[in-house]
Formats: sequence, structure tokens, C-alpha cells
Amino acid sequence: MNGAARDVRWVARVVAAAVVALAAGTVYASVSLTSQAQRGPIRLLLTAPPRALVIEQRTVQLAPGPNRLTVQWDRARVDRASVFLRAPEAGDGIDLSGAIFPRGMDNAVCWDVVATRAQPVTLEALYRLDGLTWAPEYRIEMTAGAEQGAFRATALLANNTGDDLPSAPYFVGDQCIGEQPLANGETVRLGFFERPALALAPQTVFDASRYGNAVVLRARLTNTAESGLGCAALHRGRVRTYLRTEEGALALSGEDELPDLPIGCTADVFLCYQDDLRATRSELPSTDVNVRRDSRGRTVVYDSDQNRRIELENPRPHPVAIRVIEHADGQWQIGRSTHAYTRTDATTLEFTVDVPAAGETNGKAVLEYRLRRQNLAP
Amino acid sequence: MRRLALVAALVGLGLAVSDVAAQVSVGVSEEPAETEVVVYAGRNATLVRQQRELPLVAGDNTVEFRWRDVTIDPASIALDPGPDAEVVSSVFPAGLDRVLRFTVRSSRAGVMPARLSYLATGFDARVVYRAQLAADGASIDLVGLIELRNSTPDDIERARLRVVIGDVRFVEDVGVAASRKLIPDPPPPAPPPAEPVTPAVPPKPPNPWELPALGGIPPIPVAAPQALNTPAGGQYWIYTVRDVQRLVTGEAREFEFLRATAVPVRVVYRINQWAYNGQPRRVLVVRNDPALGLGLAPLPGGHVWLLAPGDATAGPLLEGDLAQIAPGQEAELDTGPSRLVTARRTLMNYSLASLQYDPTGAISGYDRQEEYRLELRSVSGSPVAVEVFEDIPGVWTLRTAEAFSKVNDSTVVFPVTLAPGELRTLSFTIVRREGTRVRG
Repeated sequence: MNGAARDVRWVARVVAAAVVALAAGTVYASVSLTSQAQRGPIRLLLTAPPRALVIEQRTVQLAPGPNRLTVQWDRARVDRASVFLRAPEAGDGIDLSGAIFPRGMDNAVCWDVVATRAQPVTLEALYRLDGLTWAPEYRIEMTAGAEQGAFRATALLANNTGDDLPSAPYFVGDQCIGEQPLANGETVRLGFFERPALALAPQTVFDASRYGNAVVLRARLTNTAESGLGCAALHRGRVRTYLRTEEGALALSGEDELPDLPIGCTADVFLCYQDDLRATRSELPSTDVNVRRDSRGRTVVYDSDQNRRIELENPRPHPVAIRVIEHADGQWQIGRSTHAYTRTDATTLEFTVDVPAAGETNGKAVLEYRLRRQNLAP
Repeated sequence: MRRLALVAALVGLGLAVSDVAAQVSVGVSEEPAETEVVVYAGRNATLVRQQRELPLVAGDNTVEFRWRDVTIDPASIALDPGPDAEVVSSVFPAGLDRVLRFTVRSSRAGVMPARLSYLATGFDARVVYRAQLAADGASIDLVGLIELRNSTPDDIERARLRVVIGDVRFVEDVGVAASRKLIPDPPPPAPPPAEPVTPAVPPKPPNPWELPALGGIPPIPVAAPQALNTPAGGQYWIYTVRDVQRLVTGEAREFEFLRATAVPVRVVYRINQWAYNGQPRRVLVVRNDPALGLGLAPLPGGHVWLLAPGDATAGPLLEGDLAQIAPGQEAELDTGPSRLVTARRTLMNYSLASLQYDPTGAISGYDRQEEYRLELRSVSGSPVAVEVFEDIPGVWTLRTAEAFSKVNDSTVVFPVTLAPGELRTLSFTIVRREGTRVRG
């Protein structure tokens, strides 16, 4: 598609309608914006995904008396009710309050404006464009040791509006992330945020409920300036982690979902499996204790003791601290335990187990604890 | 292009019956002297009132009303022939569709000003607000608009347009009423049982509290016309649309009914685990106070488009719904989720206590204790007001060192003010009493 054609068909054209005798004795001024070529900037604002907003400025020449301004689009799917037209620099002289939705024109909204004199007016139209959607994606490229990594946020922007978009700047918040045309049906990827050395605060984690019997490496991302982020909230999106090998090759090590991360908040993100670290988890059969019975000898409530054992093996030549995350539901207490624990919420407890290097006690550590679940109903 | 006949016509019909009076003829193309269209917002109902001049003779006259292309609830058609005449009967003739025949008895001959009214469909109205939040977030400029849509096959021209906003009770949709029989058919008789069955229990006596099925209720006339004069402040109120020269068929227009600038608003960040999944939402609280630039009348509820520059996280164009606000009262506009305040609610501990046993040794009741920790964080550059709502059904007590107030028997609210960048942790324990207990 050539540029001229795109200009003509682009999303919203603010034009003054031709002279239309809409009511007896009323003659509306005729102004053709397209011929004036006084087009102002168009901005596409990527707000909370997947929505995008179009902000378009035009300068129109008003004639003395009544003028009809029409925001009109061709094939694009504009949310008509969302069209917000204003004249930010005109003060109180221009009243743009009463919109008209003309008969047979689902692709237009009009305003009748009365001007006391001939004057140019800069108008700003905001509207939602159905079919213009976006989703954030994140990429972490770990360096050796995973202490830090290159962090890059990109926006996948899809145009299914039914119309081609001209070259216009795309904004996330106040930041311009690119400017390029986007044809109908096209999807573009634009990078909008990059940190070459983001502190990943890696943690070696064993969480059988989430990762099975694998030990994994997770990054703790904190959206603060101290950690290298903190300039804006990060929207929920897919995180892909890549690992650069010693030979310089780049390999995908895993994916995860980054939750919404407002400023100041923290999220844990999967980086990669630690296949050399082995974990074996076992639960011994539980024993009913503190059984309370009714007058007919039937159990009405009881407690249950269960021993849990997690054996961790470390073949590395250096010790590893593994954060072990365990879960229990209902009412519970920990009886005896080989390690101190922290109750992080009603169903989660965490241990930190230092696994010695290989060669020292065979590079093994064992975590054992007794879980007492209380007041269970039969 | 047709003018607002909206309705067909009053057509006089000469009757062959000799002892019944005169013939009246009002031409189809004759325009009513005055037309008033009252649109009930959001109800698919429009009350049309027309003034016609009827040439009547002394005695009985027959006046026929026909309509086509428009949807009218026939039971709502009413003719007021003026002080010197009366309607003695109105008949829907057999075999004729969309015809109502009035017999009008006049005390004298002459042209009588008559008023015709009926309920029709085809117009709709809704309230839309367009507002702009000031840069400091402390006030809004508010423009109230009534969006009026004409979906009838006729153009409105030089009619008096009114829009009724508020609660008006309709038994059924006017379009449904227009399409069915005036008196619904009785339900078909139930087929006889295959073999006589002796009821095992005596028949149930009628329940005085049980309402009859709606289908069995004959159409009820809508609010009497004089009720439209209810002053503002009643259950509903009327806006007269000014300066309407024309509203052509298929067109919708917004008419401004309110403009207020620099209306103070209070911004509250509201957190409700049950309603919003714990995600903080920014709520603007607006008071309908004449001293603040609003009117004396109630502010009708409607959809709000809010331009809020500077909110980079939510985008500059927000939308929400505003409930109607009585004078002097406050209403809230939920503008959606906000990331300026974050909340993380965690159940830290769960336990049963005070187990109660009945005489057989079975458990009859217990206390369920839930300890919660709620971390609130503000990344706003200015102090923010936060309201944390907790819904707690059942019989409960709340143990906490935090200040809270009880909204109703199952809701409490923790009011919190966060300084810029502050992280605050609230801790509270909910104790619910379950089952029954013999002691305490």
C-alpha cells in the first residue's frame, strides 16, 4: 500500500461535512481538512493489555457561524461511544459537548460547533480502536552464575482493526517505544524496556507441588529502582529465559508467567532447572492421634501425624543453599524438625537447607519433619 | 421524508347505523396541532401525546384510530375529547387489525380540542457523562448528556421532547404488549390423568404470600399522565430537551443537561477481596451539592467517560457507571483497577478452637479462626486514602489492633491513609462461630 492511499483511509479523519441543510434555515460551513494537509500527530497509547487507545490531533479552520465536525473512519472498528473530542487550547470558546450519531453512518460521530469568527482550532480526538491489541513479553538472558541478566520487555502489537495504520508513535505510559506503519492483519514486536544487567537475585528452590521432583533456579524480580527496575508497573506477560553457554551459544532454558508487577512489588520467576541437584521426597504413612469419639465409639474428630523426608544431593564442588517449599492444608503444626521453618502463609512453610559440596558427607543433606494436621473430620 | 405522524392517524369513519350520530373525518395527512414525546430512558417505552382538533356534532360521534409501521401498546391508547365531550366506548373491531374505534358523545357541535396519548416503542434515551479530571486529581469538569435515539420510521420535527430518567414500573415491555393479544389466552386445560390418583396428602391451602404468575395479570396502565408533573426529587424526573429542531429517523443525538466545572471529588482506593479479587480500584466520590456547582435536582445515573491525564498505568480514557445521586448525597464512580496502590492479602493461619460436643459426644459447634495479613503499598507521590472492605458472613468477631468500622452485619471496612511510598501491614483475625453450642 502506498502512503497516499494510507493517508486517505487512515483511521479517523476529522472533516467538516459538506453543506448540509439539516434543518430549515441552518447552513453548515464546509471545511475540508484532508485538503488542508494540516494533520497533527497521531499517537497510539498501549494501556492495560490488551487495550490500545488512539490520540489524534488535527487543526481545522472554522468558519463564522455553525460548523459540523465529523470524526469518521472507513473500515476500522472504532468504539463509537468512546470517541472523545476536545479542543484543549480553545478554552471556553468551542463547545463540543453534544455528539450526533448520524443516520446510516455507523462510522461517524459529528459535533455542531458555532464559531463567532473564522479561526483555526486544534482538536484532539481520543478513541478506542477495537482490534488493535497488545501483549507484553519479557526476555531474560542470563549470564554465567545467573546473578544478573539482560532484561528486555517487548510489546507484541497486533492490528486486526480492518484498516492499515500509518506510521505513528506507540506509547507505553509516557514512553515512546517506536514508530512504524502496521498493516491490517500484521503483528509487530516493539521493544520498550531494556536493562543490560538486571540483578536477578537467584534462588535454588525445591517445590514439589509446583515443579515435581526437580530443583529449579528462580529469579526474584523486585520492581524498584534499587534492583534496576522501578520506572513503571510491569504488566502480566510471558517471560522467556535464555542461557548463554560457555561456547557462546544461546539456549532457551524455560518459560514462566510474570504476574502484574506494580512498582515496589516482588515476583519469583522460573529461570531454569538444576538437573545436577537431586531431590527425593517421601511421605511416610500417617498415624491418627488424639482421636475423639462419641458415646457410641465413633470417631468425631482426630489429629494426624505424618513424617516427611526430603533428601537433597549436591554433586557440585561447592555447597548450595536450597529453599525447600512445602505445603499443608487445614490446621497444622510442625512437631520435630531437622531444620528451622518459616510459615509464609496458612498453607505454606519454607526451610532453607544447606547442602554441602560433594565430597563432604557425600554432598547430601536430609530434611525431616513431622507434620501434625489437627481437628480432622473422619 | 415523512413528518412525525408517528402514528398513523385519526380517521373518522361514517357509520351506517342511522341512529348513532354523525360522521367525523380527520384526514390522514393532517398534522396534530401539538405533539409531545416523552421517552422513558432505558425502558423501550415512549409516551406520545398529541393534540388534535375534532369536528364533532352534538350527540354521539364515532372516531377511529388506526396505526401502522409503529409499535403501539393498544391497551394504552387513550382519547380525551375535552370538557364538552366524553368517550362513552372504545372498541377494537372484530376482523380489523390495528384499529381502535371510539364513540364520543359531545354536548354541542363544534371543533373540540382532543388529546390522544399512547405508549409506543422506537425511542430510547440514556445518560452519558463526559468528565475531565483536573491535573491535581481533586476536581472534575462534568458534562451531563442525554443520548436520544430515534429508531422509529418517522422523523421528529418541532415536537416537544422530554426524557424521563428514573424508576417507572412496567409490567412488561411495550413491544411485547403491542405484539400479543389484548387479553392473553387462558392456558390450555391439563390433559386428564391416565388413571385416577388419590392424593396422598390433602390439597395444599392457597398461600396468601404467593404471587400469581405474571402472565395471568392483565396489562396495567402505566403511571397516570398527571404523575409526570411530579417535581424533581420524586422517584423519577423529567428533562425537557430544548432547541430540538429535528431528530431524523435512525439518528442519535446527545443533548446537554448539565455542565459543572471544578466539582470537588474525593479519590479513594478501594480493596474488596470478594468483589474485585483484591485488586485495588480507584473510586471517585462525587457529592451532588448545589454549593459545589451541581444542580438542585437529583443527578441521574449513567455511563461516564473520564479523561484522566497523567494516569500512565490505566491510560487517559477511563469509563465507569455512576449511580443516581440525590441532592446532598454522595455517589461513587469506579474508574477501574489502579496500580498506584497494591494490596496483598494472605491467610497466615487457620485453626479450629472451642470445639463443642453434644450429649452424645458428637461435635456440635466450634470456632474457626483465620489470621490474615494485608500488605498495602502506595507508589503515589501524594497521600492516598484506602478503604479495605472485608465481607464476613455468619456469626463472627474480629480481633485486630487496627481501626475499623462495621458497615453492616457482614461487612467491615478498614480506613487507611498511606503516605507516599509507604508500606503498611494490617493484621486481623476473624473468628467465626460454627454450629450450635450448649455453653457459651
